Amino acid sequence: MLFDPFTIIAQIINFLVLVWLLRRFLYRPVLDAIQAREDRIASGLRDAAREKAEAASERDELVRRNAAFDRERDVRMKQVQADVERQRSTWMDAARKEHEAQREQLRTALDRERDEVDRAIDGQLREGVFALAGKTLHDLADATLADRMADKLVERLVGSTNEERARLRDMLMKGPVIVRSAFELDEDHRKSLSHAIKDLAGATIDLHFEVPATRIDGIELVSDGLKVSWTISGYLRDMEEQVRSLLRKGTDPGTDRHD
Amino acid sequence: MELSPDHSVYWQHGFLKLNLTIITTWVLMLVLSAGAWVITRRLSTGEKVSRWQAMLEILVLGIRDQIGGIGLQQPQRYIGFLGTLFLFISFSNLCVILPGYVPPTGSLSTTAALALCVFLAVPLFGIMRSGLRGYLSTYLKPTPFMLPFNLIGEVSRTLALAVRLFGNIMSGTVIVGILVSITPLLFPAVMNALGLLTGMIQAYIFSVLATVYIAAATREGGERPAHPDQGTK
Repeated sequence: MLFDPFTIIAQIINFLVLVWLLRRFLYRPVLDAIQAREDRIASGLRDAAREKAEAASERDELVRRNAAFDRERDVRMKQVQADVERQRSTWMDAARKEHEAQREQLRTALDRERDEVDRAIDGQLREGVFALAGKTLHDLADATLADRMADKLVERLVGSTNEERARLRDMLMKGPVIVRSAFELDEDHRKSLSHAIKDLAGATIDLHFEVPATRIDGIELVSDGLKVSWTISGYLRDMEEQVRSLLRKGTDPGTDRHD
Repeated sequence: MELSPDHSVYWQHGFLKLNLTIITTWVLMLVLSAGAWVITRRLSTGEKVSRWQAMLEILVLGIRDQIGGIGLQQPQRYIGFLGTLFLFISFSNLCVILPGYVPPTGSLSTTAALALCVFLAVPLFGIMRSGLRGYLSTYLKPTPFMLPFNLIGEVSRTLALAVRLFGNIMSGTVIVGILVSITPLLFPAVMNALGLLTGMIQAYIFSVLATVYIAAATREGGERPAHPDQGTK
């Protein structure tokens, strides 16, 4: 007989026992190990994905910060450039003003020095002219400069117009009359001057003759703030102009260079 | 010449007996269980695994994928039963290369026992999946008139499972036995190799058919299969 009932039952039991054994020692451990590995790999992949996302986020944050930093740097650079430009402008203005002040100071000093030189030249020139004129008059006409100046004043008083005479008369009648001259006048010329004034005023006028400490360039009649004079200032002014012109030619190029 | 190892009885006491089929089955169970235990004692869950663990993982995953590929939604629930079917039959058939070995699958009692297990497992899994009423209603489909034919089909396919496996394995053993007595050198070795192939194919066919029956029984609202074992050897 091919079928054996006991063997069939025994084999069924054997098979069920084998199912239990293999489930216990084979399928469950292997599937659990595979599941654990898959879970670990999945976890690793999730972690990697999360880290990748975090890295991307950090990269975006870094890019954003870099952009913000660049913008801020540009703003700061522009601000610094503006500050530098402003400071430079301020310093340049200050330097320019200082330069202008120094130049003005230099110019003032130069003008003052030139005035001093002018005055010195003027004085020297006047002295020279007086000396030269006096010497020339003495050598050629056997006369003194003082005499000639007095004569000239007398001529002027005598030759004045009626209108001038009226004004001179008013002036002479107001108070003491002072005659100032560069040189001491001799008695003759004092008398002739007194006669001329007496004729002009129509009365005797008390005259005071004096030679001022500061040399005057001729002779002058002073009364009550008014003055009639004959001087060599006109001659001296012409000469001064010529000298100044010569000086200007000598000093201007240098001044131009400074400007 | 004995057709079945059931007839090699070593001990008997009334109904109880200890024959070659049972002893061989015990040895196979011992080897399979011990081997599995030895290998799975220290399983690695890391990337580096031993060769034996890799082999077991390939085997278990292959069985699981086959079950899933046939249509069972949760292969882990069925791998204990179906995987053991395949491993027991295939290991039993592979051992024919050992001299003097008689496979227990060459016993109609063994194949009948396995077929009975499938016969019982199919409604059991079906009821677990769809409930008793839902499972029993499948016998009335497509019409209640089909109930006798469905019942006959259920029994006949179980019988076909048992006889198919028994016939193939027993015939291989018998043929090799006959050829050894006639031409003892080359031809029996070739037939033995052929028997290996046949044994593996039969293990695969038995397991796949059991999987198909269970899949059909557990398919929700599905129709009964139209005897998928038709055309097989």
